[in-house]
Amino acid sequence: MYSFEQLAGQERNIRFLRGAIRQARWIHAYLFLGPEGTGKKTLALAFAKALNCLDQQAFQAGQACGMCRSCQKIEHGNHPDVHLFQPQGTALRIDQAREIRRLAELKPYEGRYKVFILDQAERLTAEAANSLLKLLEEPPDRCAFILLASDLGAMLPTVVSRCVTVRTQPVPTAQMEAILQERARADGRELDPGDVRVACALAEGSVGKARDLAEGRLAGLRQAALQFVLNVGRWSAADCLDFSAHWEDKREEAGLLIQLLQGIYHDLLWIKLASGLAQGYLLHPDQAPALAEAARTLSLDAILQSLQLCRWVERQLDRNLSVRLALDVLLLDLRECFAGRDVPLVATEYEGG
Amino acid sequence: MFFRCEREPFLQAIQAAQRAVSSRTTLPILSGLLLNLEDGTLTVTGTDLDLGIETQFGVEQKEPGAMVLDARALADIVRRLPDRQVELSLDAATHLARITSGPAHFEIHSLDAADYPALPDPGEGLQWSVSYPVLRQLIRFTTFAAANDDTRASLNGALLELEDGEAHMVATDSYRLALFVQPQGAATSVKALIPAQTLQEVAKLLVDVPEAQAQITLGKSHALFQLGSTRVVTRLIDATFPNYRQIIPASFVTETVVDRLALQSALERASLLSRGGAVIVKMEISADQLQISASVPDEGDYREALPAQSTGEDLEVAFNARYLLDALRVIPNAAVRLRCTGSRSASLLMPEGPLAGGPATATSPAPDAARQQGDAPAAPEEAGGASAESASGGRFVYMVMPVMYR
Repeated sequence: MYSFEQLAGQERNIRFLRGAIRQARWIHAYLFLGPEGTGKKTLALAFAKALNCLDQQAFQAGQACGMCRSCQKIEHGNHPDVHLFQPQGTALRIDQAREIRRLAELKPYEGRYKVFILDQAERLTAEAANSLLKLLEEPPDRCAFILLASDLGAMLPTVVSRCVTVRTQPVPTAQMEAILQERARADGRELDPGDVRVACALAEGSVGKARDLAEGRLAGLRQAALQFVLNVGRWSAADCLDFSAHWEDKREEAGLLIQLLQGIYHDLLWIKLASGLAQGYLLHPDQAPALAEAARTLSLDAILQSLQLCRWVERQLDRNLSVRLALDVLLLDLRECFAGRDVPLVATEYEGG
Repeated sequence: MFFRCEREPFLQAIQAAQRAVSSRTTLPILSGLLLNLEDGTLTVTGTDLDLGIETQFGVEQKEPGAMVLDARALADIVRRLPDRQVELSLDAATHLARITSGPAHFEIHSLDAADYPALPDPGEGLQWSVSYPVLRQLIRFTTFAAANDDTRASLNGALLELEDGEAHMVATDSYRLALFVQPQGAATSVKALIPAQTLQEVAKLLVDVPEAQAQITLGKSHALFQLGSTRVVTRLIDATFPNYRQIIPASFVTETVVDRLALQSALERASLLSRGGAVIVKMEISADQLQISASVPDEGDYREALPAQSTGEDLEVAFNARYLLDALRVIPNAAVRLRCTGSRSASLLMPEGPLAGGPATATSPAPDAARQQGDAPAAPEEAGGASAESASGGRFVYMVMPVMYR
């Protein structure tokens, strides 16, 4: 459930949009521009809720109560006046544009305003975009258009010029950590600061993604990855294969595990290069003593090679390689690296070719 | 929510409400039907926001409540239930609906009834009471001529005009126009542009009850059709319908009367020249015959002469065969009259003599129509019992634009 209050890291945009609603000076066409995962759609839905909130007090304040029928329907994607259009296949097509034009001519079914949200608006075909120009320029009464895009260059300038641009930014990692901890405390829970730090680092600026990670499977995976790197020196090849078997058919989690391994080797690299100065830059500061110990036994070459191996296997996973096979190879190779043996990097040969 | 009912009325209610459910909807809730149980009456509602259908019937109520179930799943399940009795309950905690009939037991997911949009209220408006057969005639004779594209909203509907004690219904796609005039209108005057698709759904709900009356409320932006225990609410099209009265010609250079079934089957034969596409037929009208010919490049030629009784000049005029066929298929009379104003201006096609009873409710051709057509055999589909429709005294006019003959 999102309303403006709960949209973390977007304070500036929220202030701007709320003020616009409060003073009844909002514009009929907005372009929300920002990288994937920075809350564009969430912001658009929160705007739609605020425009249609049945709680008069909340509406006058430019807010959404989040409790009324209207807010609930928008949350469930069932509000007859709030339309979310997403690309059909690869593009937002002319048929969808026609449907938008048809719907825009109708009066709101039950809400105050009709809100049209066009997700990935850079994927509007030229035809579709052109057919919407008139609507964006002179929309019928009680209509709001919100275009969401991450690539300004792919949009028609004639469309962009008809919209007020609102930029969404990735939320800085430090701020995300604070938000996550604050919310957990509000719910009376305690999150492991180490997990939160890693979750925020992996979330690419999206609070929602960080929260899912921190409250979900991340904790177990982080412990597993640490356990592997810190102990692999004492493991047999069979231990490595047993470990790998956990992730059979769990592509997403295996991908996360590899990202976590990279993070740990990255920490080792910091310690190796900067030793005492590294502390502030570590992804896993809570494990600093153990990591320092591991860094001492590893050569710089071994660390660099491990990082390269992780990156290569990560790419192979995207290419639909068997998860089990990829992890088997990676873990065995990392073990070899740890033992100081040189692992021929098949990767560079393939990548070069 | 908990009730027990007979399967058949339940299935009928579901199928009626399902007519308003669109297969391609952006709101998940609209793929469902709302079941609302109150005071021993179950109301089943379906809507696509343009059209809403709501039908009620009595059930054995154990506990009131409401829920939304996927329309198609519900219809399929209820149709195949083994027993005549159905029991349906909702587990409020898990949102699971339990359907039990004899030994069969279903549990399906339900959606939150509070998310279901309320059907619009047409508000204060003109009330018109019309018998089922008359309403069906108005719809059947006109809606086929409406346009079926999104670009011209005003042509996607049929205009219902109540004026001077007459009811007019008219639809056009700008190439042809169908007008039906019914002498039993209301006293007041009102106009409403009703989506043609809605009207066709209404026609399907008009079961054969000759004395039944439909109550129509024409509001500002919505219309309500009360058909027994079923309510149909539709959005009205907010556009101006072309002024059709002044474009219907009143004087003609050539008129010909021809057997309706003979003309219809001749045009169907001509249409065989093109698979799916439109065939242009040339008509050469002379005093006692109507020569029909068609030529489709790369396909072939067709020609046929029909006996006809013509007055006025000899004329060559060409039409899209499909447009003529659409009208011929609804005209019940044994003979039709084609009135032409020239080879480049509109022609009228109308039943010869007073309108006979509709083929749908099967009646013998009106005596006048049969007399005009000496050698016309009685159309087989028209044989059968009499119907209330033959007495309704409606008037059907079909205007069609000729095309250039290549």
